[in-house]
Amino acid sequence: MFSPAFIILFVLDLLFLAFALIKAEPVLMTYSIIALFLLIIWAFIWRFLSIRLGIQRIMLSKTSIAVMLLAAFSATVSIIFSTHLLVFTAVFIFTSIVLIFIWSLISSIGLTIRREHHRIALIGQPLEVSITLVNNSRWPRFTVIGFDYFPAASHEAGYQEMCFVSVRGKSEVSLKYEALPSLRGDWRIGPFYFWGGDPFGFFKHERLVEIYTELIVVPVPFRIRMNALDSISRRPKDEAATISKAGESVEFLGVREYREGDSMRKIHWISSARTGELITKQFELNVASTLSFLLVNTPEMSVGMEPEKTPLEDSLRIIISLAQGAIRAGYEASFTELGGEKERDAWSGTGRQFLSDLSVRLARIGEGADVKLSEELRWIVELVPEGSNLFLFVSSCDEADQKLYSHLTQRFRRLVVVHFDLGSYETGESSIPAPRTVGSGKHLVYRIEYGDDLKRVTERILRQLQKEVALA
Amino acid sequence: MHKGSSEFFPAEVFARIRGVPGRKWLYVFTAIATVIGVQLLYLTNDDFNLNAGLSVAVIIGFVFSYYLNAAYQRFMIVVLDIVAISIFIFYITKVASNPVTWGNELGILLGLLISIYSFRAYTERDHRMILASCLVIMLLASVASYDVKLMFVLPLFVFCGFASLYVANNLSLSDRIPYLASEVGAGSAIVYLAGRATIAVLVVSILFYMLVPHSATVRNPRFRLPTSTIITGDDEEDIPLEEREQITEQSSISGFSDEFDLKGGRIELEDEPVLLVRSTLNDYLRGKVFDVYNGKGWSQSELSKEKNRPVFSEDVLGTLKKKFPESSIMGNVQVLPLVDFPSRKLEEKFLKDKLIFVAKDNTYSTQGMDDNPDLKYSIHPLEITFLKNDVAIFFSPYQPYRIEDVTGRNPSTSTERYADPVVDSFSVINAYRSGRRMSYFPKGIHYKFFVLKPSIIPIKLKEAPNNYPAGLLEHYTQLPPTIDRNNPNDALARFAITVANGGTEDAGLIPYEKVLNIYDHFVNSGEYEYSLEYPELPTKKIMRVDPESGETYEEEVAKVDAAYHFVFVTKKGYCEFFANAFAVFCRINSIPSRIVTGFAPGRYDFMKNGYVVSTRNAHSWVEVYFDGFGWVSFDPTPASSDFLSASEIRSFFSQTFDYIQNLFVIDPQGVQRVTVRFFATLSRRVYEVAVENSVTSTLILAVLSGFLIFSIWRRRPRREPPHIPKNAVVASYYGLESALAENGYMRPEHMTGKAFLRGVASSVNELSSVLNEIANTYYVYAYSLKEPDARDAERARAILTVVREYFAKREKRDGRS
Repeated sequence: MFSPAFIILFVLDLLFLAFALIKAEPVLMTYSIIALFLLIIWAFIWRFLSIRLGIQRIMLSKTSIAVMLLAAFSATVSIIFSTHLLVFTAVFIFTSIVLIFIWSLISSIGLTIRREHHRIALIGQPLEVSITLVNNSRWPRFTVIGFDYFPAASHEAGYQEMCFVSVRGKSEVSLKYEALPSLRGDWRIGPFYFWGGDPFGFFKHERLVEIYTELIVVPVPFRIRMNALDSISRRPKDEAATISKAGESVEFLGVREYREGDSMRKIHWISSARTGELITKQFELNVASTLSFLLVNTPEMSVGMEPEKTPLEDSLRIIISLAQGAIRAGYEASFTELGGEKERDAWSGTGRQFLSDLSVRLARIGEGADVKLSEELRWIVELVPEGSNLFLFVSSCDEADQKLYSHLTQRFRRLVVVHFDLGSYETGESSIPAPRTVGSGKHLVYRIEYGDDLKRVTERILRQLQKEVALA
Repeated sequence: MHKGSSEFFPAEVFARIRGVPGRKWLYVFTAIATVIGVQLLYLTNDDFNLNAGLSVAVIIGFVFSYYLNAAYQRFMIVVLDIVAISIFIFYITKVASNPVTWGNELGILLGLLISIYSFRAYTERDHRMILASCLVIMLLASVASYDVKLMFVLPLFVFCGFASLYVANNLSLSDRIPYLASEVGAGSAIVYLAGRATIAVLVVSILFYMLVPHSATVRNPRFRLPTSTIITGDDEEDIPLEEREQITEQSSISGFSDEFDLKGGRIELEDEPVLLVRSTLNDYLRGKVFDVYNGKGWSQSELSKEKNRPVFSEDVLGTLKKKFPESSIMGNVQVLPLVDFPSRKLEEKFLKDKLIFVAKDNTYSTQGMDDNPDLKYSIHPLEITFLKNDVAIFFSPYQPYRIEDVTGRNPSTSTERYADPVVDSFSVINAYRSGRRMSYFPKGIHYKFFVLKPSIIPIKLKEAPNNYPAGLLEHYTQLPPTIDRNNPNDALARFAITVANGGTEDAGLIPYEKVLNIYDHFVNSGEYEYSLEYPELPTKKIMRVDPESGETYEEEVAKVDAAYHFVFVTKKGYCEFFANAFAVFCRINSIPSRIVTGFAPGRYDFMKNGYVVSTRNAHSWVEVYFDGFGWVSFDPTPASSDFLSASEIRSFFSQTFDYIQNLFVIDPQGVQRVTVRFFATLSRRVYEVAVENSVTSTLILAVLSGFLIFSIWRRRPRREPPHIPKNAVVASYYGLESALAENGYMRPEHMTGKAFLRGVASSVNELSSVLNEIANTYYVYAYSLKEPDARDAERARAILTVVREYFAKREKRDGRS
């Protein structure tokens, strides 16, 4: 409730008063009582300022301290010499300080803030935030400094400082600042702090404005080529080429007679020419072209020296990149999380909207909980589409785990296990001497270390798959 | 303005950053404020060349700092810091060697440091520091000066100071903060802020200052004494007698005749300059002192006239020769003995090494108050020049101890001349030439002198005992036979005693308390009024017998005592009547008092750089003797509060100046009283006028009340927008509004729906009829409680469809084309 400075002054004053009472010093006693009185008045004023005006604290500049010392000096000199002009000068300096102080206190009254920005931002991509200062009072305001708390930025640049040099009464002025979101997550931007003060730089006070806006910072996908995945269909190339268009995760099944309502685009013109009747292509859902991602979100996934560089963050970045690549190539993506906020959660779909939703979903993933994969097999079977290509992200992978994963290969077309060298994330140096890649294309285990170029890693994994396809 | 990523923000964002003033304004405002600050040094140093030099240096310094290449700034800082430190050490050494003039040297040092600093004012912090130094100069000038000039340059100084601080603050912020926005232009902001701050600070501080109780005591201000110059001529030629008489007639200023007559009549306040006073002390200038009261006026006693004496006694001369072996100094310096120095011990302690001597027959305090520790003295130099031919008195504040350079120019012969100063028993310096008392001083005569001014804290006067040096009480409590202080039937005496004792016959009060009661009675009770007119004192003629020759002669005497007449009959008059009544009241209460005539403090003249004392400053006041303190001045004349009379309006400007000067230099308490009385008079007059013209005043009051009510009514909170019901027509209107918005017809916020639809109708001819139709329908159903019937609702929906179809067609047509 009270600042340490106030308490120290109060205690000191009480000590002086006690000393004056013991020594029966009337002058000291008078000054102590006056000081006590002033401190109590200040406590009441401060209560008013903090509760009614929302002022958090008051700051003095070096200039104000110098001028206050000068005022104290001039007051002393005027008491000693007591000429009229000197008294006036002392009064003038004192009055100036008091007026400027009052000015500084009322300078942020009637000011409100409006913040506007996009709801979704990408990590590392500048975000334009528009701040509008609305002056509801009749008087203009000058030199209002503002701090917008932007938690999505890195820790060093959490506050964005800005200055509204002037705004007229009953008016508003806007500025835009550029923030660089560097932390994934669903953030609440705000609050906003005013550093209102006099326009001459003597006093400042801090006032909190409870204004919050939502910002979802999603991981940025890197662009990868998905040629390898194009070949996962075992159909001959020419048939695969008949797939109508990207975005429909279907596979050519055969042909049938034209029925009314069939799309012109699905007519098999070669067969139609051959038979003399309209023949329509038939498709079926191509499960094999589904990319499934299973994230086992254990607490170990969040270890690391930097919050923006943990196994979880790397996993999410790879997932969103692969998902983007797959969806662009016309495949379906499925995402399952174990150990997250909802314990088990699965989403699947395709298309741009799904990708966008998936980004938001990935952005909201928080720290995980302990999960035993062996106990979750039932859920994996239930949630992850059978026959799809599964990318499994786990914190670590020992021999026992590998045995467990080998069972999964029976159910899924292809299994890629991505695990992490946790020691390297904690220390910055590689801690496991074993080779990065283990296994074949059907069951590939890849280890990521701190500092790896994720794009190259992903491409390498995809190349491994491609090799396997070529061999097949 | 985001540095380094200018592509990020559109051009209009940059356009809004015009609120940050340019760097040059920082230099301009600081330079002006600093030059003004340096001028304040003049108040303490009286050295025009120094101030002019420093001002030029400051201006050059700021220009230099503004244009100096940043690469050389560090080098300049080092060099100038070394220079500043050297100068600082030099002046500190100088002050240590001669501590008497520390205030003066400190001022010069500060001025020099500021001018040096102006050459290295590169950052905002440097500018703030320079401004703070100027504030210190202001403080110093206030300590050592009584010059009201400070108050006239202060507003400009404050304005420029605030402007400079604002610019500095903005520049600091713009350097530090990447994101800035502004709505007001820099120039307007500076003028608005600095102007507002200046007015607010000055008005509030002046009001606050008027409320702060403070006395007029001055303790030992130290500054440089003016140096002596050598006179070049010693022409004994006198002006012809006729011319002398003519001059003497011209200079018949009230109060300077040998008699202090209280006949009455009207006086005119002419504004003819008499004296030019150059000093830091703008005080009452004493001319003549009167010690004998005869019921209708005052005169100087024979005793006092006999006490005139030459300045140089043998022992004084000997000491002077010992101190100043060089004759050149001796030629210009003449020492005047003090005649009212109350303490022997202080004389030994304080005066010995200051070339101040006390007359042999000086009036010392009685035993017990001889070693008065509370009595402090300050030394003030003054230079006085006669601006017109006037009486041959060396006007001076109480009490002078040295006079120098009595020079002048005879208008007829154009030669230098001077007079011998001789101090009388009232501490007034009279002018003598060849043993004869001079009757006048010609215009242009000039002299310098020094006064020893007691700094008396009024409350300390309580310690003055109720006993007086031998003979003093008897001499200065003399009263005419018409007043008998012991007679219980003497109305005046009884009244004076009652007033002095605070309403009782004898409250056992000490002299100081009695004097205060008398003072309050005349000044603060409100019973007496200042007036430039006094009815002629009724007189009668009586026959007297000359005791020497035995012849009878007729003498005109007052029918009633002048003090009685003033106190009981007129209750209004000018300074002489107040002074007379005050002195008589003191004497009735056995408190030694005497009347002084001279000049009240003059007005500062910027062109002449000094205080000009004019005929309207001619004044009379009273000196009261307190044992252990000496003669203490009391001015019992209340200031005129009759601001509304025609004659006062004529001299409005001079009065305003006097008001300011009184407020800040001479008598703040008096000004407080005047101000209160002014408003009391004003309200009384307004009331009287209102009562006299009741119809007009009622009309004015009604108009003003109406205006007030209208203003309040206009400022009432704005009504909430009316509730718009949700019905089919309103819904159709909203649909219509969004359809129009999609096609580029946005409704401005301030525009009503009806006006908007009509506006669109006028620009889209095809939709003109339907839009006008729905505008009317919407107006009916949106602003009333009426529910639309089925027909209107259907029609509204149909119009919405028509409009949508029209825009769809138009879009199609445009796309095709």
